[in-house]
Amino acid sequence: MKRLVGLVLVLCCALVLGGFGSATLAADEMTFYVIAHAGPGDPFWAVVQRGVQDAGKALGVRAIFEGPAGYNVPEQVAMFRAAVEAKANGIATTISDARAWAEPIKEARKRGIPVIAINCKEPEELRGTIPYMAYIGMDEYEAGKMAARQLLPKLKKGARVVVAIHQAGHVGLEARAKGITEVITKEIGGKVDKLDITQDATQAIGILRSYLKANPDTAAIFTLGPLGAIPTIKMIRDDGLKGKVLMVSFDLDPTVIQAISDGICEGTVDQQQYLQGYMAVVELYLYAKYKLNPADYDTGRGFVTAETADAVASLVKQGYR
Amino acid sequence: MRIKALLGHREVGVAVALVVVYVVFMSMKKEFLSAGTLGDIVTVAAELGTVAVGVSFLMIAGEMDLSVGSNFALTGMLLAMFITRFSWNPHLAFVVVLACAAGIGALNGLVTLSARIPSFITTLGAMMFWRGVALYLTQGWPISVFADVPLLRWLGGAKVYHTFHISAVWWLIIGAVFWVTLQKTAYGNWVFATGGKRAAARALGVPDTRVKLVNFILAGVMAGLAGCLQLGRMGSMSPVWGQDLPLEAIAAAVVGGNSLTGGVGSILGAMLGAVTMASIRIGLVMVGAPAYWYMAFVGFIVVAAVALNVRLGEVISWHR
Repeated sequence: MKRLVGLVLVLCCALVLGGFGSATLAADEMTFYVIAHAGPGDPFWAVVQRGVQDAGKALGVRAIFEGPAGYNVPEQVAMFRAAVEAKANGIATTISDARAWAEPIKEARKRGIPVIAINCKEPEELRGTIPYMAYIGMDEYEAGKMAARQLLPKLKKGARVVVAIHQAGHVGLEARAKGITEVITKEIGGKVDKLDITQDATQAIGILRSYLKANPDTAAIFTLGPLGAIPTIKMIRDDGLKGKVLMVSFDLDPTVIQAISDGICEGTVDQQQYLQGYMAVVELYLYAKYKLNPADYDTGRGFVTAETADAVASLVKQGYR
Repeated sequence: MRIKALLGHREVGVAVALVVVYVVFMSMKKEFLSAGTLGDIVTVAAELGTVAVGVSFLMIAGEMDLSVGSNFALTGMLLAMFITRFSWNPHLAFVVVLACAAGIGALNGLVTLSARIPSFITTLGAMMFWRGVALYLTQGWPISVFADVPLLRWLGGAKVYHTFHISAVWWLIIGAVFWVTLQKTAYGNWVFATGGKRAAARALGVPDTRVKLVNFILAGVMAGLAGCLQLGRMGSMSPVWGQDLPLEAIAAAVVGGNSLTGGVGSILGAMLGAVTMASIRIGLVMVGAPAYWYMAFVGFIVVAAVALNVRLGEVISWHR
């Protein structure tokens, strides 16, 4: 029986000691949660977490980043509900599933907890069905327009460009493609083709090569993310197309940054996710403290070019980009 | 004397673990002890617990099912697809997908029993196969039901009180049915006998092969039903959800006093195991600890609760 008691005591002690020392919370300390659909095991979200923690330190509040190990919306919703029960002063979440989030966010708002959305929101046709107060993230469509505008000075009137989409049907990628297409066709009367290059690098190179053979007047290739950019960069290198075909991409990746330094790629759109974590906490804090209403914030205004590539590469290493 | 009888229960380990978890989280965050939090915990526990009840029943009969997570996702996705893409009557679709879930369980059982390979292997293969099928169905995309479907509300969307979802009610009923079957019926005795000493059971006329097959089917149905409950609650199902479910269900069963080798176990224990795990999940977020600690905590609880159970078993036998 003594052993049994000992075991129970050890169990209790271990659990209490494992209590992260956060047991002594100041009762009046403000607490904010940022809840993502994936955790800091993913380099992208590690940067968001950094933003959340830095904002918490700067404002002197408790800013907590939570996210399931892998893409898991039910688990994310459970975390959100737990944050509601913990009477958080504000919660930011990704709208990772338009159907699953409507109910929990409505409930949280009804219980008086401010909620804002970060990183991704519901598709256009469902706009307004989820009552979050503001959206902090990249506007995919505006980002597409900006990417196209970056290239406009280098394109002739009526130039032909191709948008290589590596995941056909992906709402975000399609919105990027739409933005690009609008600017190129309206502003220089160019021809835009959308090409499904799949996620398979070998296939992608084959598809792009045959497109370029059939359309030798192609002036530029837009890739919509590293999965499309990496094979495209390889093709441009292998086939000696540097300077003949221009390229612009989305999102940061070491290969893409290298290609920008090498002059193969003109630049890449950066959604600056550090801001999605940092600004979420700032806006929620300002609302909790001064009732300043949260406002939409477009973080997708970053564009990395040859001039900034080196600086960005070092910031990526430090975990800010 | 009474205390000794009480300590003899297999659920003691998990009950102690649950109390410790509650005391720790409550001392760190007083809101942990509220109706709202309890409702969230029970709602999370209901889906895991439904799977854990089926898995425990199968484990007591001496077999294992690792394919429950894939079955969970596939069944939920099929239900969503039948309702949205094929506009089937939701009730018909519900019956059909549960039959599919039963079929997956039956296939596990038939392959395991006729090819005489360990169920660990059969269901490991099934886990990968059905996950692949689920991914193929929508090419990896989640599927959502935006229309207001009464069946889905009844399965998990509706709330009975505060944050308590109706799925928890179904889970408690299912648990009660399985508990009665196991403890109070001849079939329950057969299940224990089949998982315990199979040769002796067979000599006594227990249809052990049939018992195992039936339990495989039940584990499959419970996994599929849990998928439907989650679809009801969330309105969406993704082919990648429920990947940790098999191990979580086994952990809940083991914490609750079920043996990996069969012959002994408890449905109530598995249910308390599921509640313990859900409490850890919710509690960690409430105190603001990184969610990664969930796995570490569960790992600790599994070993501690089982160690406690073994220790108690020894204490009881010394005093006899």
